[in-house]
Amino acid sequence: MKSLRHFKYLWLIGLGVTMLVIALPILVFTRPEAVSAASPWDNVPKRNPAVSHTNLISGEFKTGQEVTAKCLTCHAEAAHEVTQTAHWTWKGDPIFDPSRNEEIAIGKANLLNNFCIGIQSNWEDCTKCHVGYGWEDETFNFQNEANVDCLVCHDQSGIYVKAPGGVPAEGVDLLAAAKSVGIPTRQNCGTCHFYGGSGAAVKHGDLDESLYYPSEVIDVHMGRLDFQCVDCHKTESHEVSGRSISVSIDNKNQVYCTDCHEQASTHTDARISSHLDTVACQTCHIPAGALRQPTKMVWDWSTAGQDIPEDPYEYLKTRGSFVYATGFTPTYAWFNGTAQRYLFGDKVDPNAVNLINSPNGDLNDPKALIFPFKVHMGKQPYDAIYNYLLQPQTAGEGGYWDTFDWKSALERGSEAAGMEFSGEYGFATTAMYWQITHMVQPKENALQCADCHGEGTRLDWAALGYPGDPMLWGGRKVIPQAVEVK
Amino acid sequence: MMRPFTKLPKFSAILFISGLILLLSGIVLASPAQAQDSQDQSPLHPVFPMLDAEGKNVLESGSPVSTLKTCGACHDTAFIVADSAHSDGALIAFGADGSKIASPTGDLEDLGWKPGAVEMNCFLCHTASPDNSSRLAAIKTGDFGWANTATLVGSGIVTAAEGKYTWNPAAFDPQGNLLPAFVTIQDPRSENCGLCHGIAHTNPQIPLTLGTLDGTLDLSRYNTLTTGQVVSPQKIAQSGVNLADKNTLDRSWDVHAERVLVCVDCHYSLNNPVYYQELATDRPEHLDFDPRRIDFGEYLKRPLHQFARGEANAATDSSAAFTNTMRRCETCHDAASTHTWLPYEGRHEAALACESCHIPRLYAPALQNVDWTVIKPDGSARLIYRGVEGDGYVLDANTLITGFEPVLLPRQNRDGSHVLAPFNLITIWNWVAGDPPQPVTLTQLRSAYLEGEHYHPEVLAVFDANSNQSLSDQELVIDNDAKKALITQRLESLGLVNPHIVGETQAFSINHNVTRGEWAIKECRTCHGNDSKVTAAMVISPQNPGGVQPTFIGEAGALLQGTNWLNRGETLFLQPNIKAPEVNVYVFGHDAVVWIDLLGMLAFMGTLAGVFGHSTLRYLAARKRAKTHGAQERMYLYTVYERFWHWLQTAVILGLLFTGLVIHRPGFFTLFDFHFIVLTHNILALILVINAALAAFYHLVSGEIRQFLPEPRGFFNDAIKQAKFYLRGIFKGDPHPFEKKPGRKMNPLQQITYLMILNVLLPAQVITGALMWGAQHFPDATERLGGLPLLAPLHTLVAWMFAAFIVGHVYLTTTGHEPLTNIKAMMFGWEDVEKTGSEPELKAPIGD
Repeated sequence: MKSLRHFKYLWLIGLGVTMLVIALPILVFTRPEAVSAASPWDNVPKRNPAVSHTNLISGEFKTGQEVTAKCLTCHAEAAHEVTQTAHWTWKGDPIFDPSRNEEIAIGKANLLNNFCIGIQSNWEDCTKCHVGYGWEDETFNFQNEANVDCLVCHDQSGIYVKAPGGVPAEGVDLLAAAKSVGIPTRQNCGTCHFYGGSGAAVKHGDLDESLYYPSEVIDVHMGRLDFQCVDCHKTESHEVSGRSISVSIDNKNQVYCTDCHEQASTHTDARISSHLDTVACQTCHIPAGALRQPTKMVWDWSTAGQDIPEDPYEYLKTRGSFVYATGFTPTYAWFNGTAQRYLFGDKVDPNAVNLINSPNGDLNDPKALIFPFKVHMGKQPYDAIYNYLLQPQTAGEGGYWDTFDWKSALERGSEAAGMEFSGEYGFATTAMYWQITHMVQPKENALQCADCHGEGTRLDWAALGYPGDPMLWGGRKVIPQAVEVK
Repeated sequence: MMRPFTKLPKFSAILFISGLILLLSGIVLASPAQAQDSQDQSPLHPVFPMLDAEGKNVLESGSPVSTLKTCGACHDTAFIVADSAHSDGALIAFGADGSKIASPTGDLEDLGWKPGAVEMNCFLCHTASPDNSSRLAAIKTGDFGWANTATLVGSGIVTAAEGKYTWNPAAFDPQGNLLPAFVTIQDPRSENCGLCHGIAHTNPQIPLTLGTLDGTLDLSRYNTLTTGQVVSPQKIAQSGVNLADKNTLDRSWDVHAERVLVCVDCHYSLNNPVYYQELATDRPEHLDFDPRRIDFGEYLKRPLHQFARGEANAATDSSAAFTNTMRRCETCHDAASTHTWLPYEGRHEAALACESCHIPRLYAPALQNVDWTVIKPDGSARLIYRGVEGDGYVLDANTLITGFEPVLLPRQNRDGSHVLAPFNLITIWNWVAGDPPQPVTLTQLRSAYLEGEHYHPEVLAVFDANSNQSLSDQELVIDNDAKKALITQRLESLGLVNPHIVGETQAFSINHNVTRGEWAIKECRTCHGNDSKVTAAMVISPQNPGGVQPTFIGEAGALLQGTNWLNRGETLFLQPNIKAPEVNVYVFGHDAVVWIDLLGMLAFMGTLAGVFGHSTLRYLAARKRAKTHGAQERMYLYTVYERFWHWLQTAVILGLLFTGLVIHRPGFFTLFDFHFIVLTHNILALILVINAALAAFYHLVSGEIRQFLPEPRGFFNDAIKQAKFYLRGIFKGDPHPFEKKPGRKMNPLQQITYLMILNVLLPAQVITGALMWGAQHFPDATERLGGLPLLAPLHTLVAWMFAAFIVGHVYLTTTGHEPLTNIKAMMFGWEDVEKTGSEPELKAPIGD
């Protein structure tokens, strides 16, 4: 019946229109605030379980190289890729250093620091952490892809250990290690990076064994959300992202908080947002370094060699005197992402603090943010005639730890480093900056206003170039650029 | 690695390392080398000699320092002292003189104090680390003259040994001036104020503890003791307080401290040219800001030591003239811009102090009862704290602190308005005797209870319920007639006349420990519901000593009249009375007028019952009767627009009734978001008004309005005819007395009903509703027309009437020749109308 169809049609239209007239205003007036669509998780890699290699790998492995060869049967490009990275070369790409007005290529392979000082002549001991086999002297062939060590990063058995020169330690079951391979975990990275400076937690101040199984108050990403290192240090063709000013002066391929956290929308409080142009995320979100394990703050080589009571946290005959600290308040400095670096031959002033490295940036640098650092103080040998820092041979036969004779150790080290040694040496005071960027705290533990503003706080406004507390005196008068440094 | 070692000192290493650390701070940061001997050293204040009361340098005289002489060399100390509640321990402001000062025991006894015996103590507030305990010790021992000097113990300027104070010559230069390193003169920090006023803790690095580490509260910290207020920027979770669920409390103790405000930022000196601003009410209307002020030199010479303040306790109100001179929340905060999420934001602000939502809970214990009707062997009263686990008798390191919610009481503002604001209530009982009644002194009380250090055997015999020769807090209370009679008799035997117990409940205003948005009360049902916070009762005491109910003493602007005492078991509660004429708020979802609801429900139920009875009879009658159909005619009765506005109104009214019910009784509809329902109700109301207006316009313009107008001539006869039909004819299957026609769709009863609805009920509902909405938008008009307490119940009543009407209306639509005939007609426009015999005169068909 035509009229029936007509009825139905009318009824539905009427109902629809009526409901629309009611629903539309309600929707318009009660619409909840628009929620930011950006989720930090969008930028976190989705981790798929690694393919089990248990049944893919068989045979007998006598050397690490044999394991590598086995890996390369399927992953043909892998070894070549590794040899293109700093994990293998220990030297970065050539980069123009404006302060020297020349290109430099620097890395662990050719730098000095104020911990164990340097690799030259000490290869065997240092290269325990090289991602290769057999770097025992200056003759190591960086082109030989057969020496790439796949297992140190991919072993999941937990039994793989490297010996001097980077070769597998005696007795390691290479077959079991090879069968276990998977995506690198905190354990793999931690094997080297938690022990820099030849001991647990010595170097970084924000990386130590507590990150193997961290609670959320150690590191919110790893503790609360079970992040692995490679979730942030995203890796392409074995090139791991992330830079430290201890070995580099540029910030190419750096990892930033804002890779995942949208800067503009993360903080809803306008007062906090107004800090983003001058304060790095880390400054508030990492209130302290070395939360559990003590880290080295001062290393004085000049006292080494004495037969006095030893305590690994205070004095060792082989190494001299130390000061360790836990939960230290970072040193705050302007940092625009690039740095200065001491190179072999740079002059030192024995009466001043000589900077091994230092962050670039100041109050007037629009790219610079206030950033937290661990500053490691050292007292290390220098040539009293030429006035530059010296490379001693410490490890191995004839090294300082063998002879306790600085002069011969410095001669041997200088020769390896290709430096002139006058024969006269002294000890110069040095300082080295380390970014505090791990051990990010849950937001509840972030710094609050009174931690920096007000009386007697952790920030030395005058040292940062302010006339006074910017809460009272106003912020810096530079036009900020949207950058983040790490 | 281990080799035989010889003992060599590591001095060189240690020296080097300390040197490095110095260098680190000095050079690495490249800070301008500013050798600062002391962090607390005043950056500006000049050096000065310390003078005694004779004006001689204390180094020569060895006498106590005179602050009035020393500071008076530059500052007008006479002016400062003359006009300050803080001078002379605030006693002068009470009009106290030496003769009237009672000893701590309550006995009149001359302790040697007289006005001026303790000079106003500049050091206590204006130096970085004053020694308040040495100062208090000096006062307690009657060493009034040295009290101010004692404040400097620990500064290195003076040393104390066995009650003797010795000035340290090393702190002075050859001219007798203090060396710059010892000049720590400063603006008062929060810690200075906190020495007396309450716990103030501004170092975020050091976990806050309440009082001493053994957990005892420092009784001299008055505002913490009386209200549980603690001023600290620290997050509560990171403090050292033994607090229940502490790790969940990631809010700070006080958001203003967290934002680096200090006490004097709000409680500033009232002639400080930086801060002082006349209240808006005191200023000429054309001025927002008066730029004429005293210059800094004048201010530093004569800084007024009256500080901006809020409402305070009248019992200690020594500067009433300065009440409410302080910046209040709204001076700095623009609530309107941050409360856009809150419906009726202005109405909430008019009825509630900001503190009511922004201080939802105190996280330190506070006093609840001070029972001086009994005495402990150490001479103290029986105290009960609130905000602690258990019965509140004990407060030490093992006490788990739970915190407490303040009670909301009407507070009178300076402008005469009243808002609900948070308070703590402390109740004190004590004995009085004589005529006029005077408090029984501690000495007398002690005699009544104690014999030396122990309770008198007579007292033990009556009080010691478990016969263990000591009195627990549970036993040491006058909770029966025997105890009361014994102590009365023992007091009488001391010569006291008519000793009896009195009790007083005092309100202490809570204004600090503010928290921001996420921790403030945001959930509507906290107040809009049966268990509303606005009428939440506060425990007064677990029992009334001597059965004496306390009386209120109105304090801190708090209004207590009309407040209800509630006895639940032994425990006495106080329930705020929000119906006091000064406040008289109507809280939706909590308040309802019972008789209105009963009446409304009666009307609704009555209609339902009527409909049920009528329909049952119709059904029975129809079963007995053969179905006969009269002649029918298919007519187009309702135009599309008529049908649209009708059904829109139907949906909107049903929606309004439902949302209104949720707002009225949110407890029954916890599924629904109160906030959303309120907004929806308002939007529906707007649609209803617009729809009604458009429909009215349509009816007027088209002339269809005549449908609603009863024909005056013969109206009553017609109406009776129609009524008779519903009462009788309908059961017999009689035809409708009036035939429906496009020109006359309504029978006389319908016409009169709609006339009433459209001219009485609808306007009443729209007007009351609009005025209730106006509580936010035009509060004055709403207030003049009775305010919410009148309008809201009226609105509820009319809503009930509408509900009843709808029942009847829907039922009567079923009286067509088929039950659904009329409804279908309203849906589709066409209706099969019975042709009746008795056809009244028709009006001329109109329109369409």
